[in-house]
Amino acid sequence: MMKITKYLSLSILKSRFMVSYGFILFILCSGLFFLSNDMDKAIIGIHNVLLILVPLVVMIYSVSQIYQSNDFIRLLLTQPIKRKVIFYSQYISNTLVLLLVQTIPIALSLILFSDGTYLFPIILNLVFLTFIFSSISSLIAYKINEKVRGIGITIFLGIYFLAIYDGLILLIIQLMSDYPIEKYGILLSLFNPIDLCRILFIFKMDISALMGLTGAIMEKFIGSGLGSLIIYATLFLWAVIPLVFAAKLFNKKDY
Amino acid sequence: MIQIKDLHKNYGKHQVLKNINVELERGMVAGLIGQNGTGKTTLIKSILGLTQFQKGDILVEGVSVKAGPEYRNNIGYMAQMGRYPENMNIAQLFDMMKKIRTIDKRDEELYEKFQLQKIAHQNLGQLSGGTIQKVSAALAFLFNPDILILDEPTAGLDPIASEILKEKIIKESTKKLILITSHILNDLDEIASHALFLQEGSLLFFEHIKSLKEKSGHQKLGKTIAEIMLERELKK
Repeated sequence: MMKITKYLSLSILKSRFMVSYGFILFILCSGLFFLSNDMDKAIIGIHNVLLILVPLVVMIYSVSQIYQSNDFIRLLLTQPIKRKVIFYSQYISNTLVLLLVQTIPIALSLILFSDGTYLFPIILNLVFLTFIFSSISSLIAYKINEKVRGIGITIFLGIYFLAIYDGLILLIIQLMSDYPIEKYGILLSLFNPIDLCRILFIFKMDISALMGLTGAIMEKFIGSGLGSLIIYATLFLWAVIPLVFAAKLFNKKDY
Repeated sequence: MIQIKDLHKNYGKHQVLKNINVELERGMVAGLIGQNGTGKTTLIKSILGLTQFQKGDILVEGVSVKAGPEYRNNIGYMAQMGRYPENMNIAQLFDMMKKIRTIDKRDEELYEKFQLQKIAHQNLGQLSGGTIQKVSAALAFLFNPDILILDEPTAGLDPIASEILKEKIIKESTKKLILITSHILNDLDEIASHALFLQEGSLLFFEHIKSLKEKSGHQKLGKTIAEIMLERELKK
């Protein structure tokens, strides 16, 4: 498995897209430090950029990469290698390269322009988001055979997680504002990995006091060991469950 | 070497292969003939384990293809016009394959005759269709397998490369089992010993090409096949 992963990763890493994506991320993150004098504001800005950019780029890139390597995967399948090995080699090489290309520029700009306090929580969220959305992309790409439809669904799903889902939650909270529903807000956010990452980060930044009662209840939830354990476990499941289903599809797929 | 028993395959309601029974032995060069969409590629893919089939079984040297990937150690496959990773070069591709299949007795004749070492550091994304075919052919023969499966091997090759490949196939044919699909019947005429004719997913006949020609009285495979087709149409 290591051999195939190594060669696949190298060939992806050499693409012009990866190099320019890493470069743009670095410029973007460093630029935010120069735009605002307040370091905390800049870091929140960087985190917001990540929450929008990472899911979309990871999903669109992984899905089109899987479609593009179809012929090559077929060649590998005619070799004496188990299907599982080929599946995980492809997943790991895609994910690791994306992770590398995103982590290095962001970590570099955080180390260069800030005191590095928030380096760990930001990188942790980056790792979660990359693994989760790479898994979801595998599921889409192996489920849907047509490239155009697959990419269409990917873009829709990205926008759904980024905007539509939050809009729906806001609407529910607005409509039910006479009832004590703050607790259920947390429950609903478990179904959106981007929200989970955002919550984790907000409470690391100690700005939850600005969020009123919801903030207070969430603070209590995450402050307790069980609460943060539940969030980390949910994020982990978001990465594993789509991957398991994708592996099953790949195993039975006709090439 | 390859036994196909009662093979059925359908995509949804569409039946692609119906009740195929064939036994292929060492020393044969079997040409797989048939119109477009009659299931030639599906049959090949079933042998390679690329597609799953609903009924029947395929045994390669006595072992079912469903038993695991090890039987593919003995098979070399040349695909129809594939796309490779754009930023991988030929040398890296061959390195990777050599690491996957750790077989010491390698056959690099085609690699040398196609002069691939001269362009070994070009990225696969920059190569022309014909050059990619040369790479595929060299890869199929590289590990000296007992069974060779070639899907449209001469399509896209220039006349010189095509001759090199055909010579190689004839040279290897006595020691191996070679299964070829091709639309170019003239090419098959030169290299194939047996003809496997597929029509609408069923095996119409599997015969020695010499005896086919004797029966019809024609010298060329193309005319022979055309006449057989015509006879069958008339019988209907």
